[in-house]
Amino acid sequence: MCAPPPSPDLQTALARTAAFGLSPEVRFAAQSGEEAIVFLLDQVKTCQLPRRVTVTDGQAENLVADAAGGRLLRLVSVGDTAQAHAFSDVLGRPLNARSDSDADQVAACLRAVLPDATTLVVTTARLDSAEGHTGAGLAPAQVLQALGFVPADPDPAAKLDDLICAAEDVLIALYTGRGETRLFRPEAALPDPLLACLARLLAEPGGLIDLVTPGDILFLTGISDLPHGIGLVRTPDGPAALIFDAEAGVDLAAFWAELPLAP
Amino acid sequence: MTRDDLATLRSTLAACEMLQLVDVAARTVLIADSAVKLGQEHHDALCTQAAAIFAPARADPPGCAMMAGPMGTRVFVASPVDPGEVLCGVFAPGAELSAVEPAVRALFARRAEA
Repeated sequence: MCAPPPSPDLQTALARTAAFGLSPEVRFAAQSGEEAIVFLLDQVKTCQLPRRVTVTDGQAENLVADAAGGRLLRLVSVGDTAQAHAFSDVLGRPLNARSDSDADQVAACLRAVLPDATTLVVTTARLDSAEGHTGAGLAPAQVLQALGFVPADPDPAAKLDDLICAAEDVLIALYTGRGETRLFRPEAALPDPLLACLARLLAEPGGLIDLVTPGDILFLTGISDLPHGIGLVRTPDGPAALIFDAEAGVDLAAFWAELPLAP
Repeated sequence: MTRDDLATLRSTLAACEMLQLVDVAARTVLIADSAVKLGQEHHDALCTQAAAIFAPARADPPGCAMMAGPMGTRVFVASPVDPGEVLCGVFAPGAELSAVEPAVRALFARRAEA
């Protein structure tokens, strides 16, 4: 017999509790050190808002780190005194995504802290100060690359090619800021209202492309009466727009967000 | 809409870190609920982005916008009742994004009927 579902009031109370960072701990039985590190970095990726992440083996504290924006902001401390001494250069200071040595040092530290199969217990709590929400910190993919677990990050143009290749069934065209159109469906024609809209988005001062930073795509759906979705992106050749079936927007956004992270 | 509405909605959306309702004309955060307590600057940054996308003067306002990238995905859904109100969400990689817009629109509809 199933327990009755929580009442709305209880659901609200639970949500309120979570709002103050008191989310339940996460346990994971890693079969190897590599699996433990990958699991930890997956937990970091879920920390979009600033959080302090604490890793224990169920008894002793292994590692404390700060994370935000899905990135590792800093390694705060490690539990082992000898390791704390060995990695004193990297502990307690902000991590820099543009520094190759930071990724290498963090990778070495994680290898030392999580060398073997273990049961990880990961807890998160709010940070006393909200900081580094954008830009700062190491992306988990950078650490994975330093560890040799994944290949080097592809360049932005290659990522866009990956998206185009994976989504060819739902993509209609790629329109550039210079007014050039690459049709993925030869029979498709871009109506004039859509072309006028694309020109405003990409070329006019204050156009929405100004909001898009390298590595991001801004997907727009439900524009006027257009049945199309539009994805604004910066490419090495300049701003561009992907035109796609509007209902595919969420799948394209999810696919793009899961591609390897750029520094 | 109340903060409890947002808290309940957030608890149903996987990997949802923050929800907030903003008035884009006034560039004001009306209510917010987040996984951790945040400084106002975080709410303001998301509000500013929503206001830029859904600015009343914009010729082609979208119904829904998603900014996807290595920093997660930020989703913006305009109220069908009052286009000046936009519900914004921050989602970690792995979120079930397809569930977001229908859930937000259902909440807007419930509140319009209440």
